[in-house]
Amino acid sequence: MTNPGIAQRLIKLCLPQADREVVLAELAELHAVRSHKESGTGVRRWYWKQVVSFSSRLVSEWLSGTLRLHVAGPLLDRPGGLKPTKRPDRGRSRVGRVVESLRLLVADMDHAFRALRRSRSLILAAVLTLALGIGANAIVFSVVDVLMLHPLPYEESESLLDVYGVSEERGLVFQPVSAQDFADLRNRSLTMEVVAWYPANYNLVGGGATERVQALRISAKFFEVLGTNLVSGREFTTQEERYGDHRVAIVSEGFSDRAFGSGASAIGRSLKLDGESYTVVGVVPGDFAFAHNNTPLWLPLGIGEADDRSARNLNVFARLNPETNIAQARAEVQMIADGLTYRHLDTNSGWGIDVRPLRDSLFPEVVRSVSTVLLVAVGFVLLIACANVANMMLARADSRGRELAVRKALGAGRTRIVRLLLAEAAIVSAAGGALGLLVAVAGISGVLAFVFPEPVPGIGSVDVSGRVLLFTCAVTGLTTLLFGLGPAIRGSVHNLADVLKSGRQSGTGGKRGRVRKLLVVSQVSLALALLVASGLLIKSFVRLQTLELGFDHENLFTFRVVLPERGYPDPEAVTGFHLTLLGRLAAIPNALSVSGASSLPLHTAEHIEYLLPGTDLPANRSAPWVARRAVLPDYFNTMRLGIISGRTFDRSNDFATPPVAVVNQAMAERHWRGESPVGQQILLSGRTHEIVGVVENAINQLGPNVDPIVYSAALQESPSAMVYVVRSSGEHAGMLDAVKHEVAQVDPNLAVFGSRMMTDHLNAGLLEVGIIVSMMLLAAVIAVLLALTGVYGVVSYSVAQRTRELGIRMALGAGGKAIVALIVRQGGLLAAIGLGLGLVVSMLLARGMAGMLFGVSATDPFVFCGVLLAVFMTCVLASYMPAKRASRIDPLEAIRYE
Amino acid sequence: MGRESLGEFELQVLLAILRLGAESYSVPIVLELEDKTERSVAPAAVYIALRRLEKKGLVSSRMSSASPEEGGRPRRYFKLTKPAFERLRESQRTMERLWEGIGAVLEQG
Repeated sequence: MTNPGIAQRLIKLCLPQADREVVLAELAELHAVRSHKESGTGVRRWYWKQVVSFSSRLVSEWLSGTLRLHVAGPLLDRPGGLKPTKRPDRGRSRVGRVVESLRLLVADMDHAFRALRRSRSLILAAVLTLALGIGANAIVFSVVDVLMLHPLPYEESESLLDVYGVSEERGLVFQPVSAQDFADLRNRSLTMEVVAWYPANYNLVGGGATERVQALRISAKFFEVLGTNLVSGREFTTQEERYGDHRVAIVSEGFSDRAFGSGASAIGRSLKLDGESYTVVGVVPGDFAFAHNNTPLWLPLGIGEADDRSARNLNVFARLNPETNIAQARAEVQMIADGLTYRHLDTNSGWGIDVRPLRDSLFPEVVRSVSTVLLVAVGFVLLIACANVANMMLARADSRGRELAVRKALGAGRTRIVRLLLAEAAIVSAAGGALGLLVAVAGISGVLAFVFPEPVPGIGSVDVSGRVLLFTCAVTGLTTLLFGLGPAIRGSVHNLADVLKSGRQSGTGGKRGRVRKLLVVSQVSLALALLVASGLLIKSFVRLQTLELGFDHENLFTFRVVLPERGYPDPEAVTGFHLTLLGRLAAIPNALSVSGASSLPLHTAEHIEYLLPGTDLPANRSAPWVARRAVLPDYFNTMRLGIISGRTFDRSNDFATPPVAVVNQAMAERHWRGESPVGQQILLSGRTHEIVGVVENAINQLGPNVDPIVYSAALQESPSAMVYVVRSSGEHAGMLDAVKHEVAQVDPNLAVFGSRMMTDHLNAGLLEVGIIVSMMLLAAVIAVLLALTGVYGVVSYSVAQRTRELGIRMALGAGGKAIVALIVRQGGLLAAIGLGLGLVVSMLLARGMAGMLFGVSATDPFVFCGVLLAVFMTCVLASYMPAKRASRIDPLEAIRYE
Repeated sequence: MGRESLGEFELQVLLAILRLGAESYSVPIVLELEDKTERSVAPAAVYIALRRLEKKGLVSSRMSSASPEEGGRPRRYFKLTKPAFERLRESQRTMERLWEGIGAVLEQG
């Protein structure tokens, strides 16, 4: 026989430390005595009853005890005496008055506890409702806290700034910065210490296998600026940033243990990356994370002499010097950028530099707008929960009309009764808050894992923080006021004479009924808004799933290979490799066709400057940009991307022939509306290309827009990084091994990485949207359920009140149907008013989320009408149940009913 | 300074301790009370009453070292203090005075 573990823990929680062991032991003994007499479930129920009994008694004992002992007691004449024999003088000192009010508070709390214990099931329902609302709020707040308020896991992270390029005329913002611009910025800035990084990955040869490792290339002082100390060794010097002096490395502790054996010193050891030897000069702590990754390898920037200012590829951030602020930094970088534009008109014209907090760059705008919408959603849920509880408390205040009236008649002042009812509300909401916090603690890790499938620095360790606790307390206090004040004020107006005159149905006049109806109306309107919001999100999610991609994503296997400069120094070597590999891949069984591109749809494509010959560029304007993709022969066939006119590339389009390009339909429409672009010329990065064909649009990113794209021939560009695509006949189980084998046959020092099915890639993008949709839907469903209980409660309450009236109606000949119609009409009217109001709220909310919607207008009539009808029907159903009950009333009994 | 009043339940607990003698820790107290009052008694109520009584100086307690024959469980034994005996006697006298001659009236009612 074992005692329920959770129950034991809960009892332990509320007992004082010294008594825990004894009380648990004694309870176990009693438990043993019981289990001789009763069945297993009976005994278990008994134990859980003890949990409730212990916690409620101890909490009330503790509350009144502490207040009495530590606050009111020492100041009172009669320590511990709750009932003074005479009222203290009103005119006594201020201290006296404070003491008096404290004493009253203690008495109120004491009283409230006893009063609440009398209507346990109602209170339990109220506490659970609140716990749901508060718990959901605490969870979403924790997520938002992490995203928007939590400091980054670096020392004094609030003084870290993201530094980025801006080009207003090209509509570009948050752009990387060129190496030269970075160097000038670093040398000139007086307000901050500037560093730079960019991601790269390498073929690491070691232990007979070739592995692809993630690396970050970083400038000097990178770790110093983040405030991280190396475990051993040193950072890179500015000299080592230069190409040629760059063959040094910093590794993570984990990497060091794997590569050199744990415990061994990594300093001075060498690593073989892309065929070159690098010497390890430093080791970073194993738990250090940057840019959402636990990067194992860090290398110097490696800036070459030839790098020019138009190659913007460095991510730059900075730490503000002491006693400078972000405004000064902004003014300074703008001044520096102006100077650079002035001196380097050809490359820097139209480009500026700006700064923002680094946190903002790690958590982009869309994440913030999503969290705001979620916060609003759970806020609505809480409001609805509050309205429900307020309704319950109102009903309770009504049923206590006689008690309160008697209290008043016996001399309790109006404020005293308000205080008593407020104390009850405070206790209920405190209990709801505590339980809600438990819900949050239980749910938080699950939700976080759901929202951030990949670890983000500093987020893995998220728990219910002090801030979340504080937030929950604030929410709890607010709910007390929200649902407590109304009933409290209403409760205080009972008049003994009225109550006694009108018997039991008293104190439930039109006014009170109206407040309850008002609450239900607002519940219905908020629930409608949430349901409309999630309806819109669901519709855009469905739209995304059925999105016309423009290519066939099924059975497409993709993987990446990057050729190191050392083994492939010239364009011929690069194209030679690509052609050889294509040939070998085509021979894999199941491979229908193979090709490759510098990037694939749903991956980011590079953007380049272009010009059409004959168009004059205004002096102060810079060239427009377009997405560009360099593709290997047979690309369009492999992707099943339709050709509209002209031809595509083949093996003959190499360095020996003039450069050619293919444009998509969107690009054709942008510049050659009505005529064929085939045969026209286009300048891509300064080189003239002849357009030889037009292909269908394919989406570039999950979203509503189809971007113009220019395809160039990879055999004329020789990109060293390539994503290969293999279209298979459906059987792709052994594909990765087969591909690895073929690559190793061509060059054993190359790693195959980033392999995945195109479908998986697509689904990963959809999953993120799905998470938001499902959280929103969950909030909406809770909201609707709570609102329905509200409707149900109010209608059944009014049925109970009108029992006598209904009985008379029936005695006078009203049929069951007429009664049902009467009651349902009442519920329907409430719902209709609520829905009318809800429409306005919905439109406001929908407009706020316009940016999150895809392919759906914020006023989509289908969604609005559908949700409206659904909510109305369920409301009517909720009032039908009590109506049906009412129609079965025996008229005789009803008339006698009191 | 007036004396703190003794609740009915507290009185019952005191009497139960007196009846149980040396064996009075909370488990037998609960069982004794259930047996004599013929109502179910919440262990939590007994626990709190005992704490209150101890605070009022009416009972004192000692922890027993957990011996193996007791199942290795720690127990807190209670016994009445001198003031408790006085209070009980006083309560009994008061009750007796109040009950005097009432038996017959009750029979009639």
